[in-house]
Amino acid sequence: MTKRIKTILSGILAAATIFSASACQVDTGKTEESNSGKTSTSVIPEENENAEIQLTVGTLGKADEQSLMQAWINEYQKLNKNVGIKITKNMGGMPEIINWASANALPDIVWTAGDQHSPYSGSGYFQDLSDETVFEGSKEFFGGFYESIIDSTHYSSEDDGIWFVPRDYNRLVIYINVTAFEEAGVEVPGNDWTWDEFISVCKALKKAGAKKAIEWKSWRPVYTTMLTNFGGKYLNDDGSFALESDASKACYDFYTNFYAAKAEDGDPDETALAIKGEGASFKGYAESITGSVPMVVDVRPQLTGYIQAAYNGGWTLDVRAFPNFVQEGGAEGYVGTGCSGYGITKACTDEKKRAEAWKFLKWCMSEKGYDAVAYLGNIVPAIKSMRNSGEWREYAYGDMSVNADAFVAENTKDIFLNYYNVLPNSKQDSFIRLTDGFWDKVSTGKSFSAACSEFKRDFDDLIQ
Amino acid sequence: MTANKKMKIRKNVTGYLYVLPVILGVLFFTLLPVVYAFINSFFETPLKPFSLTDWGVFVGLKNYYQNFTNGYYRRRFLRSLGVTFSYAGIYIPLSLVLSFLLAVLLNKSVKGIRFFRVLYYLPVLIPAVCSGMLWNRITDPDFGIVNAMLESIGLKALPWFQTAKSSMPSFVFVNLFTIGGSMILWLAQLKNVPVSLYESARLDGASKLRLLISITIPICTPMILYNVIMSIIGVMQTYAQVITLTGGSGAENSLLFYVFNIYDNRVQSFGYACALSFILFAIIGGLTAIVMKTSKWVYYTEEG
Repeated sequence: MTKRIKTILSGILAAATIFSASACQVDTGKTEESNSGKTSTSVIPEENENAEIQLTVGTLGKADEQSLMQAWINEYQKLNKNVGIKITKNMGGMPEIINWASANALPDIVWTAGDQHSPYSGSGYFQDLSDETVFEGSKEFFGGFYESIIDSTHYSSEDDGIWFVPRDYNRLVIYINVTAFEEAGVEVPGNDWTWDEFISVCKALKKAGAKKAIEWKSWRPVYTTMLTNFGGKYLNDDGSFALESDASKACYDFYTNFYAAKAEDGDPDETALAIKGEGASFKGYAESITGSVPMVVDVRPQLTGYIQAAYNGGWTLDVRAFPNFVQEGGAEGYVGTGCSGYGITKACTDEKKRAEAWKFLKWCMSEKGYDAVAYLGNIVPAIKSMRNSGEWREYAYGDMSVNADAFVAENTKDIFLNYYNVLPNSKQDSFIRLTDGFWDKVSTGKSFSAACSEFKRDFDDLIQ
Repeated sequence: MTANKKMKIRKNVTGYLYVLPVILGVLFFTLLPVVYAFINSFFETPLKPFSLTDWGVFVGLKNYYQNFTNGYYRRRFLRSLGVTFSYAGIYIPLSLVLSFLLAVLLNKSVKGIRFFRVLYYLPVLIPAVCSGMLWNRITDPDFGIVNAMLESIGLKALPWFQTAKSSMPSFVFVNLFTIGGSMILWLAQLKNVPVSLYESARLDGASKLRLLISITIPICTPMILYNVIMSIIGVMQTYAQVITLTGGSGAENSLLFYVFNIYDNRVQSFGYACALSFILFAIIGGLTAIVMKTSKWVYYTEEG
């Protein structure tokens, strides 16, 4: 009996091991034969254990983040046998940097987000990469990045420092279920579509039977993009409250109808066009326009998840630029743009190591570096020279590919989302929570004036 | 020194060596952080590396009293207290009663009863984070399976966590699936009720309800006390389920639990977050003391 139980348990253990190992593969939707030279390699760590210089890296604990950094490390080590690079730390969020520093275990290179780095850069956790005397050629190197992305590398409006190397150029885009569009008889728009055309498309999809036209993420970049396009803003340049305006009210009212917590109040085909969510409803298309959600607003790093869902679900995915909310006088509208990146930490003081860390990051964010990880599919290069070129544009899952131009379309202006210009560091988190709370009130049916006055009351108390 | 004394010392040293790992663990991983956090609660400081020299700006009791003097902090503090106490007020009695009734039901000697005991206990084994994510999908107002079932039988879909009004009842409902933990404790207690007491009462003509009220419940009172205290401590520290279920503090902060408020402040106002933690410590201590002080109703059998 005991022997039989042992045999069964061993079988389960073996199956679990195989199952776990299979999860280490990067799924490109292709077989080895069909890859025509491009390997669908799992990003297994390769080590230059005997290398003269050893660097450590801390990155986000998510599998795609790990794969990306590991792919860069593997390629770089092949080219530079004197360097060994290892991911030694995984983080759930940036505050872990503080714990690592406490334990004297801060890696040489650490992942950072453009809209979260200010408190850490401002407190000296990262080195200033704009210092030409230490980081040779930095001016020329950073001159090749999108301006809006470089803006995000400073920690205050007075700061000229560059505290991390930006990694990607993430603009909001609209992912589209082409199959559902075809079924609804709605033409798939081009990247030059306007906001009015976008709303028309939403209504047409709803009329054709879609449960909701779009999954509209309750997400700060989305809120700020809407508010800016409508001509509103949270704060004036001097830090005073600025939300009480007709433009902000128009945005809030639009948003109320768009979500329409009270859909029964209006024509169901005209209101309640959007639902909140993280993409699950969009991915859950079940071979019929009825009950589906054929669009979702999101960014490039989520492409792999959507394309796999489409491929496995047998529907066609494509992507379009965020619609142009044409401004008064015909100027183009705005779109929220962000990035992640990697900083060199204060722990990396050895000159040789620092020079190698800098060289490594420069290589990662070069054309060769971006091409090396293009097969992973989640990066739009942060350097302007690759706007219209590079392997990132060729990414495909199985035989499915999407319109790469959508990610770099010039139909809208970039806006970067940070309040460090006008608020002290100690108030930023609380203020951002207040903005979330303000938009959250839409789903409760609260009027703009009530939501706005509550926001203002809390804001005044917060900054007193 | 006599041989007797030497032996005694040797015995004591051996004993201390056995408990040394636990003492060191408590000292370094509990006591030291508690003292560090207590000192920090008197300073205005962001979260920063551990240091015994850099504490930030000394602000005295400001982190404690700004909960009452600053409107922003006061509203969040009172809101978080209100949410936590409302949840405790609804969930604790409900879970106690339901888990007790479930235990009474599962205490029967029926074929296959073990299967049902396992079935009701299973949700307890699912980590809070996983169960939160599962319920998040199950209660999705547009695509969740519960609403789909309700709509298929002609009922109106529920808003679950989408509105402030429905968030708390939904949260209580979802968490009631973990009453299996208390149920197991009840079952253990029920098994300890001497059968002779029931037999004597039956001979005296006691009804089933009388048996329950006069024998089962009094003998289970130590377990009620234990469950109440553990529930208070657990409920006051509610966090993981909320963040995974709603991704935040719920519609209109309807699920802004006390620990959520601490977590929100931990990076930029670490000193204030520490102060909030000690206030929570005092609240839990106070509530536990009240329960213990008013525990004369607990009946301890001769065995304890």
